[in-house]
Parts: sequence; structure tokens; C-alpha cells
Amino acid sequence: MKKLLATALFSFAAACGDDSGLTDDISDDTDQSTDESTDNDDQTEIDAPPGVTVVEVAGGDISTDTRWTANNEYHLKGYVFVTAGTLTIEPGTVIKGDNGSALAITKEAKLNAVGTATAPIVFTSNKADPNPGDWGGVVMLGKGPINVTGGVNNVEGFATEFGDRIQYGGGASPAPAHDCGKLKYARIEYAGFLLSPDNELNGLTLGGCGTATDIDYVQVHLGQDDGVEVFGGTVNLKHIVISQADDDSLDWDRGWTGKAQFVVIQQKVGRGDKGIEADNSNNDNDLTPRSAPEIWNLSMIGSDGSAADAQGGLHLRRGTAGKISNAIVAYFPKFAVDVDGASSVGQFGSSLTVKNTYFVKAAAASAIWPTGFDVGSSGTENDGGFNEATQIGGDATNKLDIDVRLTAPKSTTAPNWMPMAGSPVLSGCGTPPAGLDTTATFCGAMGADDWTAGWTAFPE
Amino acid sequence: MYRFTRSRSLTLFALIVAAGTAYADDVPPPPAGDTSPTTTEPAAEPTPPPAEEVPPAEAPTDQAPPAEAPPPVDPVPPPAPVAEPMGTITGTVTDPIAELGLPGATIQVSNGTKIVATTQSDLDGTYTIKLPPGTYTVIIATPEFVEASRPVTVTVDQSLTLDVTMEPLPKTATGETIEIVGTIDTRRESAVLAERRAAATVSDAVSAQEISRTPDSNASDAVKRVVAVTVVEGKYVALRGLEGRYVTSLLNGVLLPSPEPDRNAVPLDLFPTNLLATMTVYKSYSPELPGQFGGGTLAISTTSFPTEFEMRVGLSTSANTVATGQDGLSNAATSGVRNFLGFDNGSRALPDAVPRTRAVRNMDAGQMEQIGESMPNIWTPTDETVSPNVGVTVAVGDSAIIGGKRVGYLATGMMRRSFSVREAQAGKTALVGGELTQIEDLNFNVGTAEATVGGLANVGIDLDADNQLNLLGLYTHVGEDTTSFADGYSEADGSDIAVSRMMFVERQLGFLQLNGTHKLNRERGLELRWQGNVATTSRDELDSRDLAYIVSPTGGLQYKDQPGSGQHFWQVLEDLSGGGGVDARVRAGKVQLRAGAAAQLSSRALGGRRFRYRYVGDNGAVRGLSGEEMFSAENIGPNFMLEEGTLHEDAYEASLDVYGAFAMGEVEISERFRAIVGARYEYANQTLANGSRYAVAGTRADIDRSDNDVLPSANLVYALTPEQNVRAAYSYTLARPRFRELAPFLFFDYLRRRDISGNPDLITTRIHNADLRWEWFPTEDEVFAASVFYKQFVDPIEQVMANANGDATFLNADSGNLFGGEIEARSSLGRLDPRLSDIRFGTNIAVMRSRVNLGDDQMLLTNQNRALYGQSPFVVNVNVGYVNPKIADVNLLYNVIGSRITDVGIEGLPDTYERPMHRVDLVAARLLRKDLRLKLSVANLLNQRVRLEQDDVTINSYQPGVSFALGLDWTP
Repeated sequence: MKKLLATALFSFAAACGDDSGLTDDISDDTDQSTDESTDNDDQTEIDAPPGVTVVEVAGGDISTDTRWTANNEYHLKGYVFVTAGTLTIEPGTVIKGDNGSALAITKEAKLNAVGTATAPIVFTSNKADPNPGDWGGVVMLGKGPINVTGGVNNVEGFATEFGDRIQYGGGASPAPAHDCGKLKYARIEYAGFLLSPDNELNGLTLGGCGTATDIDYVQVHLGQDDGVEVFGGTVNLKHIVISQADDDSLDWDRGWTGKAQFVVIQQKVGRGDKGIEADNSNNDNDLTPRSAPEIWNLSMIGSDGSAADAQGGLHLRRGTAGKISNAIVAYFPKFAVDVDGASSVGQFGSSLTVKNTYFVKAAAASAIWPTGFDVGSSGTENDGGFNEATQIGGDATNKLDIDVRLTAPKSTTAPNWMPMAGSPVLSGCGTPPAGLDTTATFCGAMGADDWTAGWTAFPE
Repeated sequence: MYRFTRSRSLTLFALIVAAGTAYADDVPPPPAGDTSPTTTEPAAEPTPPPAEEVPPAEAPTDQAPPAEAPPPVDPVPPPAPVAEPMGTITGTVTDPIAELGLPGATIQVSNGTKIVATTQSDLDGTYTIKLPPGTYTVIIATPEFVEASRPVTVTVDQSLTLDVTMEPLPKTATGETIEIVGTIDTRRESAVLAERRAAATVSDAVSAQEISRTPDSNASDAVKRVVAVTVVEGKYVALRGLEGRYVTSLLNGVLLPSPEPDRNAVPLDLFPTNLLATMTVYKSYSPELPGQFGGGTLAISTTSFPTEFEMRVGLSTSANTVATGQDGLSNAATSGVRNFLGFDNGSRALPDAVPRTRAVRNMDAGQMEQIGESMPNIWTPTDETVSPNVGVTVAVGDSAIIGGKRVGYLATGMMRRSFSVREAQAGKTALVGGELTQIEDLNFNVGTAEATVGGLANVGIDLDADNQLNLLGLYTHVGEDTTSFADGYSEADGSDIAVSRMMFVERQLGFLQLNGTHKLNRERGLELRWQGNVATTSRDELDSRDLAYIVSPTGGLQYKDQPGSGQHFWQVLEDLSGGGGVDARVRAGKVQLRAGAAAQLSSRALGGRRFRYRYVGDNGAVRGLSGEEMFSAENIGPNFMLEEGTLHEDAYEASLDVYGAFAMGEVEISERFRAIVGARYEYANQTLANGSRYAVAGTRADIDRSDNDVLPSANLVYALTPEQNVRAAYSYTLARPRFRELAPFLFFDYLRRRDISGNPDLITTRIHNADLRWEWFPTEDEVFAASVFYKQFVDPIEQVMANANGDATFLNADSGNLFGGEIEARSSLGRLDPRLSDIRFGTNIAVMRSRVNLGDDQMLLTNQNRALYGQSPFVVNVNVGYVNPKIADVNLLYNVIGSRITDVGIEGLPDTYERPMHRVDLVAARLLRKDLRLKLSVANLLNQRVRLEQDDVTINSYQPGVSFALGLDWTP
């Protein structure tokens, strides 16, 4: 009955004359779309190695304790939410994501993904010729404190219909020690998805994760958006490599108060945006808890490209606080540091500091970066004339334009961020506080130990 | 509907008779379709009303006085040779008790062997018949009166006056009721008022006659003249301050689908005013209306066919101070509007190179490059001098007696081209140190060219006095070409940006309806009406192109490589529906029973694909080039690759099937007291499944939901006097979630830089409505009314924020309510002093207060308890007219609406309100010759800015400019 009517109607519509030629193409395809698999069939997938079984993981919920083992290869076919229990992933396990897939650990669940330096866990694309953005990435959500009014928020990158699954934050009574689980010796490759401007999936998204969470020895490589984005919480990061992200490498927002130590950021030539984009809150710059992480032993390597690359180093804005020390900020053509907005400027000096840092200019120094600092002369900086060159560049603990002598920091295929013999960064920097590795009195992510050896990889 | 047939109780009859009060006796040419006399002394005893009558210049078609030009011939049976000499009979049919003209009386002329002519008296009881010379008998019949017959002799070129005072039938058995059967030209304002007075519900209307007094060119302009109507964004109707979901639009009784994917409402600018007979706003519910009823229902009825031949050609042109003659943005190079009528000429179609079976992603690099190079490569807006707006309308109508049956038609065609320019300042705020601070400032420059074509054809046949059939076909197409450019500081980017968009949208509406009216038994008032319809609306967005750059302090550009930049977007929405209904009424004693059933099945398909150029090169310098250079064949491949970013949310199929049945009774409890009580049962099934075969990500939903509802309602009407009613009404109605609100479709609002997505879990809102109203119709053209109303919303659907980024979605709020009052007056200053009787005024003032409680879990929102989204606290319309046919007809119109929420604030940021803008329009019309009318208008005389504010920070404002229009109507 309905079919008949529809037929009659379509012929009427045709009589009314739609001659765009587009209608038929799209609407006919739309007709089929709801009946067919939406995976684009002829995309090449890699065959699993001999002896490895492919296990397809359909989009949906995992709500009991589950173990993924290294003798299988797990193919994510959609958004997989762990809604309860623990998802354990054995060392050496490979997880491949299809277009439109992601792995999300909700705030009621935990991840236990602990690889080893010789058998890391690899999250990667399911394509033979992989590209950034082939799949969504890893999302870990928790009940830690965030500064969003009401204490909960929906994580970005997902449409809203997932309800509680995409919620993070502990509400009125947050748990600063919340445990989102463990992610150690793991690589996340070709992830990220741009749903719309400022609404994207990152390689690793941490929303409201607490101090009991263990994120250590994690590489995010060739992500389509940010490498690691931290939304609130108290989670600590250690031994992080973010290589060649399309957007920012490390992004924090909504009241992150954790610590990070030994972080390498390598920007992508011609694409990456900022090394670190640091926010408190876009709506009310002074919401609390205020973003105030401590970052020690950080190496940020820009592309050393032309000014048109527009890469910035540290963009500290929207009320963020934070302490950055023992860092190298090198080769960012647009600016090394920009303290943006009256609220962040107000934090500067006491709660927002950049100390013991080597600032190295881009080789192709240009008119817009004569000094390496964004001094805000254009009047659009919203920072009331805050002068980064004197406030930060002029700080006695910081060193400007001294050759830091890293081994191969800009190589995209075989990078090496170890300081060469005689490098000035090997000593004379600050002493990290208790709770961190207090022996790391060098500047940059590495001293004498190349902790990236073995488990990282840099495919193109 | 196109013809208006009445069937009312005795009490009502008295009211309508009262409505028949004659027009001012010396009124010159009456409107077309009005057969009132022009040569004779006034009808029996017209209570001299304030001369509020229509000016000559007003009617859609003006007829010259017979003395000067031979008026068209009312049907003469055998084809009368054009040259045949004719005589005229004119006169008035009068009710001796009410001392008023009797409308709708049937006047038949017999030559002794057969009936040779038939007509009906107009609202004031007057009639005109033209006949060849000869001797005839004129028979006048109308219910409740003794049939009268008079012999007459008609001579050539003579006008004969035949006034008839009818003798009432003796009152007989109890339960005697009256039925008025007639065809009234509902385009007249007085007819509209008579209809309102008699209506069972609280309603307001604006007639074609009133519309033509305004500078209005389409329905959205015209409907502003109705009480408590707010027109949002120039084309969407809000009633009593309620918008979107709460306002339904009916076209000749059929619910119209919205052709907008991201709006709930039907854009009224689809309907040119000359297609409109009346626009009626129902503010209280009655079971024959669809159960989807919140703020009210806007019923559009299309023009009827005229009783005499009429033809009208209208030409108009207008200019706007901020647009015409100025530089406006244009993308003329690819513009679909380049095709003069607003149809795409194929230049914006999805290129053939784009595969139809799979997404453009992970394909062979060579093929990807070829697809990337197949896209239209025009990105840079150009400046062009804006032309004046032009419009042409042609209307032809006639009716004749063919084979003893009256057959009529009306056909109209119109086209309009208009241009607008908007220069807006848009800002963005944040709290900094607790202070609301503007952190962003963008300058927008938007140029729009629009071409509309429309046509309506209506054919009606009166099979006999009791059976009528009518076929209506309507088609409207609007092509809108928008080019915009914005630059300024973007806080999110931490630098200046420059963004441009080229967008071309075609919207169309096709509607075909066959309906019939059958009076099966006049004695018992048994009448059957039916209709069947098919309707289609569509919206095609063809190749919207967005491009964004970061601008360095030295002015250098860098291509922003992110969604919404370097993007091509296609989207097609098609909505098809069909249905039918029957409606029967019968009298049983003092009870008028009415029952009916209707079904309307609709299906909708939305499909879209989005593509963008990703930067894949390592030569940063190319990112500083223009769009045309960046995406040239040379650079696609090495530096840029086109990639599909379609989401599952970009396509859905949906259906809404509604089956309804109703029964209601109109009980005459006493001479003065009527109760209309009834209920409607409605079953609705709504489905929606989304998913695109081209999707590279996204999620899918499959919704199948049904509602079963019994919707009781009661309307009580008490006639304080024959001219005064008190009404009380209660009803229980529905507001279903629209597809747009359910669909997970993600829509990026680039002006506000946020996403909007639907919520598949929404449930239907239920509404308790209560109205109390006093109204006084002192004369035919006057009304004074005051009312109060209250609405209680259960599970109201409101826009809320999905996350702290400010992305919006929809939610069933805990509760909501709205109460308010409104007053209305239409009168003439002749009430104060007879010398001022040429000055008429009308005013509508509504004051409302609404609250919605969004629930404690909506912590993100700054206000969990606030006014309903988009609801204005007050609406004021005033019009003042000077009507002197010898000089001119001048009208001054004033409109203002109170502050309403346009954006919901989060995390302490205030809600954004659109501030009141006082708008004054001036219209003057004058007859240059008997067949030529000139209309001049000035719109938005005060030239105020439209302002959106968060507290006292302006975050969007623009100057709409003053428009000057000139129109000529030729009625040969």
C-alpha cells in the first residue's frame, strides 16, 4: 500500500520537475544506504599474518571483562564502547580500525593494555595504504574532577546520541584518584577523525581520568587531529611520543591538573598546528579547577618550515595555568610561546611559568618571528600587551637560540631526540619535584637513556 | 478552501446577517467578484457604518463602474455573442427583522421555460445580473425565508433596480435551524471578519484585501499583520511567541511538510500573496484540525475563482538602501541564479567523475586526483553592483455556466527576482575574570540573489447547487544564491581569519488536491466533503563551497586544513506525502454533528555528501594562494587531495503516517449559548533510519515510534449580544518531534561555529491549552477583542547544549508553560468624530510569559529555568490607514516583537537575545486610471539595526536598510 503510494508520489514529483540531476544520484543512493553495509567494499585490507586469526569487533558495547589476545588480530568495525568491566589486551596484540571505528573506555570501565618494549600493543589502520584519520582512536573516560559546570561533559568527536557512554567527569563529587586503567607500551597510528571544526577524535583522548590511571610509554603517530588531548582530570603522563600530528600535538582543556614527564612532540611539516594548545575553559576562562598541569622534560620540535606553516610552540590561553620546566622548544616558525587572553596573563608568574627552557628559532626566521616570541603587537592578542619576549624570553633560567645539539630531531622516518655529546641540555636544568623522576635534571625529554627504543615506530 | 460554504445554527445565522451590514453607500468600484450594485440607492436600510470600506484600489481586481464600462457578463447560458446588447439588474436582498442585507441568497432568473442565470447575493445582500433584453422572472431563495419571485423586463443598456425584502418563514417545530448556503468571496476582509465571528474557535485572519494594502509580496510578509504573529528570519511563523514545532501550516486543510532540513517550519515566502485567499490563524483547537497543535495553526487557503472574468497583470520593482546600487558580493560566475528563473543550469551538479557507489577515500591516487580536479573551482567572491528587485504577476480567472453547470478557473503565475546585502558584525564572548568580554569580532558580508517562480491553477465545477468539485494544483520554486565573506579575529584560532561561502539552494513545493462538497440532504443539513492530495517539497543544496584561511599579522594567508574549509557539500531533501480525508456533518435537532477521518502518509529522504581538499604537500607556500589557484589541476595531487568526509548522519530516510478520526457536536444550549465539544483520535507512526553508503564515520539510528492519542476539546461560545461573544476553550493537543530533531544528522552552523544534532530518544510533547476571549463585532468591518490563554507543556522539546563546546541538541524538558493575554482592535476614527471616518486603524498586542524547566541535570546551561526558546514576551502590530478613493489609500504599519532567545548560554554565559526592532512601513496606492493602479511603499522607515545581545554585549547586528517599492497593477 505504502509502496504504491510512494511510487505515485515519485512520479508526481518527477512531473513537478527536478532537473538538477543530483537528486536522483543522491536520493537513490540514500535509498540503498540504509539496507547495505556502509563499509566501502573495495578498500584493500591487509591479510593477517599466518597463524593469526582475525576477530571482527562490531560497533557496540562490551560490558563484561574481556581479554584480547596476541594470537588474534582485532578489527574494529564501528564505535566500540567498554561500558563495564575491564578490557585486557595482551602484549603484542594488534588492533586495526576501519573507517568510522574507535575504542572508548567509558567511565564505568577500565582498560588494561600493557605491552612490553619488545611486544608493544599496536592500534592501527586496517588499510594496506594507511592514512591519518583512517579510524577514530582510543578514548578513555573517567570520573575525575573537571571544570565544566555541573562536573560532567560529553566528550567531543561523537554525535550526541550515545548518551552516558560519552560522558566524563565525576559530577558533584569527583574522584581524583579515578582509575581509567593502564595503557603502556602502546602505539596508536593513523587515528583521528574530524567530525567538524573543533569537534574531533584524537589519537588518545583522556577525559576526567584520575591519578590511578597509568599512561606510560605511549606513542601517537600520524594522527589526523591532536595527538593526545586531555580534558580535565588528574591523570599523569609519562614517556609519551607524539609524532607528526595534523593538528596540535598535546592539547589540554577543562581543568587538567595532572603531571607529565618525558614528552616528545614532533610536528608534521606543513601541517601541524601547535605543539601544545593549553586551555582552561572557552566559556568562562576562570572556571575551577583551573587547568594547571606540571610538564617536565619536554622536547618540542617544530617543522622548521616557512612562516606559512604557521606552527606555534606553546599556546597558553583561555585561563590556563601550568608549570613547564626542563623543556626544549625548537623550530616553530610562527611563535615559540603565546600567552593569550587576560585570564592566562593573570596566572603568569605564579601559577603559569615556563622555566629552564631552551628556545630555538626556526632556521627560516621570518618577519613574523623575529625573536621567537609572540609579543602581541597586532592588538588582537587579547593579552593586554603581555610581552612574551621579556617575560619569558627574559627569564634568567631560559636560554635563547643556543644550539641544543639533538641527534636527528626532525627526521620523520628515523628520528632521534637524544642529545649529542656535549649538548648543553644534558645538565644544568631544574630538579623535578617529588612524584616525578627527580634525577632528570636535564632539559628535554631524554638525557642519557633513549626510552623510545624498541617499542616506537615511524611508518609513513 | 477555494470556496466557502456555510452551514450554521440559527444563532450563528443572526451573526452572519449582522455581518451583512451594507458598505458605505457611495463606495465606488467594488472588488472583483463582488457583484454589489453601483448605480442604485442604498439597500433597504444600511446602518451607516464607519466608512471602512475597501478603497477602490485594493481589490485584487478592480472593476470600473458599469456606467463607464460594460461590466463583464454574469453567466448567460447559451454562448452569448460578444456583441449582444445587454441590460443589468441590480439590487439588494434584505432581512426585514435584522434590517440588514442577506448574504448568500440564491437569485435565479427564469425566462419562463428554464433558468437562464444564477447568482448569489454578496455579504451585504447586493447582487448584479446581466441579461439580454427580455422578460424574466427573478426568483430569490434563501433558507428561513419564503421564496420570493418578481417579474422584470430588461432593456438594452438600462440598469434596473430590484430590491427584495424577504419574508421570514413562520417559526415552526423546535429544532429548526438555519443553514446558509452560499459562496462568499472570502478574499474580502469583511468576509474574513464574518467568518471569525461565526467560527467555533479562537481565530484571526488576514484577507487578500488586507494583504494587498500592505507592501507584502509573499505570505511571510502578510502574516505579520495577524494578531500575535511573529515572523522569524523573514519567513517562519511564530504564533503567540511559539515557534517551529508548535506552529503547523495547513494548505487548504493539509499539513505542509517543511522543506528545511534544519528547521521545523514551513517558509512562507514560498507563497506569493496573489495566491492567497486568506490566511487564518487558529489559536484554539478544534477536532477537525490535525492533532499537532501548539501555539496555533496557520491555515492558508488559496484564491478562489472569480464570479466574473478577471485579469490582472502586476509589475513591481524595489530598491533597498543597503543593497541596490551598492557593491554586493556575488558568485555570478557559477551562480545557479544565472539561470534567470532560479533553476540550476547544471553547473552545480555533482560531477560525473564522483563515484555513485562508494566513498571518495582510499582509492587509487590517480583516480582521486581526477575526481578532485572535476569539482567546480570557483571560490573567490566578486563584487557586483546590486540590481533593483523586479516582479511580475499575471492572474486570469473566469467562470461560466456550461451545460447548466457553473465552471470556473483561476490561474496565476508569478516570478520575482530579488537581491539583498547584509553587512553584519558578529562577536563571541567569554567570561574573563567574571566579566562578560567580547573575545572575537568578525565582519560578515553576505549577498543573496533570489529568483522565485510560482503558479497556481484552480478549476472548479458546480455540478448542481448541491455538489461541487474542485481541483487545485500549485507549484513554487525558489532559487537562492548566497555568497558570504567574513574576516576578523577568531579567538579559537588565536589569529585573524578569512572565510567565504558560496551556497545555492533550490526549494520547491508541489501540491495537487481534488476535493468535493456534497449537500446530500438540505433538510437535515447533511453534507459531505472530501479531499485527496499529493504534495512534494524538496530542498536541494547544490555544491556549497566553504573556504577558510588563517590571516597572519602581515596579511599573509594560510589555508585552514580542517572541516568547513576547502569543502564541497551537496545535500538533497525530498519529502513526499499523500493523503485524503472525509468530513460529514448533519443536523439533529439542536445539535450539529460533524465527524470525519483523514490519513496523511509522508516519507522523506535526505542525502548528502561532503568532500574537502586535504593538504598533502610539503610546500607551505601553496596554502597562501587563492582557492582557484590552490585547487587547480596543477596543485591537486602534489599538494591537495579531495577526500570524502560524509557521515552516516548525512543521510536518512524517514516516514510519518498519521491516521485521525474525529467526532464533534455543536450544541445550541440556548439561543445565545453554543458548545462545540468533540474529540480526535490520532495514531501516528514515525520512522527514521539513517546511514550513508558514503560514510567514512558516524553512527546509525533506527527509530520506529508510535503515538496513540485521544485529544478532547471543548469550545464554548456565549453571545452576550448579537455582536458580542465570550468564548472559552480547552483542548489537549500534541507536538511530535520533527524529523530534524530526531535525526542524528549533524549540522555545522558556521556562523556560530557549532554543531547541531538531533536526539533519537525524543518523545511527543503533550499540551493542555486553555483560552478565554471576549470579542465584539460592532459593525461588519470592526472588531474589538481581548483574550487570555494558558498552555501547559508536558515533555516540551527544547534546544539544549550537548557539551561545553557549545554544540546544540534537543531534549524533552521536565515541564513548561506559557500564559498571556492579547487584545485586538480594528476600527475607524469615525467612532470619535465622523469627519475622521476615512482613517481606520488596527492593532494587535499580545503579552506572554513562558517558563520551561529543563531539569537539574542540565547543569551546563546557565539557566535551567527560562523562557521557551525563541519565545517573545510581547508582540505589537499597529496599522493606521487613510482611505479616500478620490485621493489615495495610505497605510502606516508598525511592528515590534519582544526579546527572544536565539542562543542558549552555558557555563555562566548569558542567553543570547534578539532585541526588539521597531519596524514601520508606509504604503500608498492610487488609481491612475480605471484599469491602472499604482502602489508605492517604503519598508522599514526607521532603519533600525537587528541586534543579538548577550546581556549588553552585541554579538551580532546588521542593518536591514530601507526599501522603496513601486508597483503597477493593470486590470484590463
